[in-house]
Amino acid sequence: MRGDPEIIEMLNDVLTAELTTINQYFVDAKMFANWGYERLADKFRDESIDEMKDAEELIERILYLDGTPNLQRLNPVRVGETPVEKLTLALEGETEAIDRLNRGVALAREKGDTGTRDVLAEILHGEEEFADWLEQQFELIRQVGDALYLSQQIHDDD
Amino acid sequence: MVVCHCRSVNDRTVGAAIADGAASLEEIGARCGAGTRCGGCRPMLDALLGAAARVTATTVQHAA
Repeated sequence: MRGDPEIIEMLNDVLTAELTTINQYFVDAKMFANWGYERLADKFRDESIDEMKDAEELIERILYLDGTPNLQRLNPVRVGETPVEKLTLALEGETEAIDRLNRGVALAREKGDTGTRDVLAEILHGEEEFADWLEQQFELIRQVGDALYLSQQIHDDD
Repeated sequence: MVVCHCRSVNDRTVGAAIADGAASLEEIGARCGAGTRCGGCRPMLDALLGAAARVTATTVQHAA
């Protein structure tokens, strides 16, 4: 189905951001594991894979609209050098993602493209969930301090 | 944060190069190597240069 060019461009912008976070959270997961923070490593690996599933939905939607999914373009991958910096950069990225997705939902609604709206809303819920988890971590850090918080990240949940 | 992944240069090192007088991508590259290989970080380096210029402008404004 021939899609609206503005919708396709917006979907590609969302795709670029998803592809960027796949890489960012994957390298975050590996660095957390290298430092010994198994719990954070597991969480970020899962998030990276969730972002890949989001990218899959977006690519399928763009193809359905007869657009060309752009898998060549990436935004800067923001690699933090400490655990807390990684969490900070992740929340920064998630906040931008939520804003971008809400703008996408508004555009899809304006264009009467309910299918695209639903795809974006589903992705948005996932990003909000992770942003909420990240905010919880900052609240924990505020309450118990960096050292106590990090000592709880050394073992995974199993 | 690692800004230039090719040369492994972080934002603090780039900030120090700018504070040391680097005012262009070439001058940043000459001082710390950032942005001298694949070029993927150049938009980020531009943003850091822009942020530093804004801070300087605000400081000058406050000082005046």
